[in-house]
Amino acid sequence: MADLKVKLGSLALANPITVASGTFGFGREYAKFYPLSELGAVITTAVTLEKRMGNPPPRLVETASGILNSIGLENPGVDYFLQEELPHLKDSGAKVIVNIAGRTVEEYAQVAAKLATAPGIAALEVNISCPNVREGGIAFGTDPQMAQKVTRAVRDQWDGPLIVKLSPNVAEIALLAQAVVEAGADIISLINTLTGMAIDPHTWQPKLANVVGGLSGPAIKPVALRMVWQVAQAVSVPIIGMGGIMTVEDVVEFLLAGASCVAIGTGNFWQPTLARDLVAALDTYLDSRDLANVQMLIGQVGKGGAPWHSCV
Amino acid sequence: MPEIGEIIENKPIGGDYHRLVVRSKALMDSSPGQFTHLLVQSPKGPNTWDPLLRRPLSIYDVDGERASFLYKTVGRGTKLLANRLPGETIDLLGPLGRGFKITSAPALLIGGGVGAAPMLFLARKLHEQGRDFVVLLGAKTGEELAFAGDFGKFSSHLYLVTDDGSLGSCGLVTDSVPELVAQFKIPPKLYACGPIPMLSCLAGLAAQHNFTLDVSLEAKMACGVGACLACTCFLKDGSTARVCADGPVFPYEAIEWGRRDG
Repeated sequence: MADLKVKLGSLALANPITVASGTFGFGREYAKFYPLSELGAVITTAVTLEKRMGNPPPRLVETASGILNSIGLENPGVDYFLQEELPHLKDSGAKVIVNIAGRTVEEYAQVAAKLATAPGIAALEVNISCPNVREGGIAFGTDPQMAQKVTRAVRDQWDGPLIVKLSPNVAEIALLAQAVVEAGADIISLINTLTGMAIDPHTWQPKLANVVGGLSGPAIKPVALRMVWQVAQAVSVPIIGMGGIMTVEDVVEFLLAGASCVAIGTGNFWQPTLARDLVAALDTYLDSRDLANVQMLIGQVGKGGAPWHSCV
Repeated sequence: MPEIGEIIENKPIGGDYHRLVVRSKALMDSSPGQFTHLLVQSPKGPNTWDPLLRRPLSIYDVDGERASFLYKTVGRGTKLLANRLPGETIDLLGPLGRGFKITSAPALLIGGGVGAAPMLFLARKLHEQGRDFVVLLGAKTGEELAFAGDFGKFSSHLYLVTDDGSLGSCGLVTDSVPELVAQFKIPPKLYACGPIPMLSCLAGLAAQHNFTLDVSLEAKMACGVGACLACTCFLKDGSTARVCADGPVFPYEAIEWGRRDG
């Protein structure tokens, strides 16, 4: 048994496997497959100030080794979450990380303030990929100054570990990472989905009612890996890496690129037990290479030969 | 829990239709209208995750450990599924969703195209319970109704309709519904599955004639278990429902038909 524990600043996790926001609901459905306490943490679907209905259907298109979605942050709102979802999630024994989203800086702050009053939340993850209603619909996550404003607003309301989830739809991911760290982010998670589109060549119609959506799944893994690596070079805070993870080899690659923890997203749809299965698979990977702990992988890409080659 | 089942049979049965029979313990607990979310690729790999998602297939019949599915090869996933061979293993996640609520009323089962799939299992249950029911199936052509013979085991009242009149009467399934309902002594409950325009038209008829109607909806699904909200449909009361977990069967009055074009 290798030591799988990781510390992301003050956020201590039993293992480095968690689940990506929006793919796991509030854990209720997947708790039927395995105890959620077996994961390092559960990251919830985005919670907003008011209930949201989401986008019209169709909201999903399958693409080559990936999916495009335009769910539109459908969620029951923060008050409902606190009353009806947080209790069972805490009772499951899972570390709870709540993902938050908003249309304005004030909305993010209000959601964070409400969550700050509830015990049992391990960390907040701020989704900055939302369109900013006040500033003409440009996503908070593509402008370093707007990303800082959101981060500061949440920081003012929340004393616990603060994760900011970066959008990959930018030219220089490192600039965004540096900006949010400067504004008070303790941890960075990445990547959110890549903006994409699909068209039906027979009907000439866009395949999503929302026309554009977010691409996820194995198709985006190389992009995600590159961005995790770039951010790891640019900032010193811990990173939660995600984007198309399906196998233990994928997990290892993200850790080598510099992530301290990974999130399983679209993979949950392929195999509902995937995240839990990868905890055991990571342990096996480490044991088979005589690696005592998971720390020995983090950020080690290109640094020396792998230990099992050293005796050849 | 996902279960690794065994393929017993997988063959074309006319039109683009195939019948898949698997050996499964988990599916023995299914009820009509529920579905299985299955992986088209072999669990033995190698897996390139292309296609990535599971395919939700209505349960066509369950007979002991033999569960069957009726599917149409419409896209890459179902075409790959059609290549799977007897003796191979298959990853099955099911039964999922909420099926039809069988009431004591006589029943009219309506299947349009591949929407016939949940109707065979429903016919089996109604037959086992000794209930009075009629089956109405429609398709574009007679070739696409080659599976209709499967219904003979459970029902002697089978009506077929094709768009081109090549089998049964000519027209749309919905044309025959008021007339068939009128033949029942006690008002029947209608159970329907098929394309959205057909279901929407039936909903209109049900509202006009005060029929009791349950519809089984189809939607693009990712997780299949209610977590991802990809298959959300809008309801009359202004709320939303997950087709995979709250459905796929809904009373027709619950659905906001105008907001469903997917």
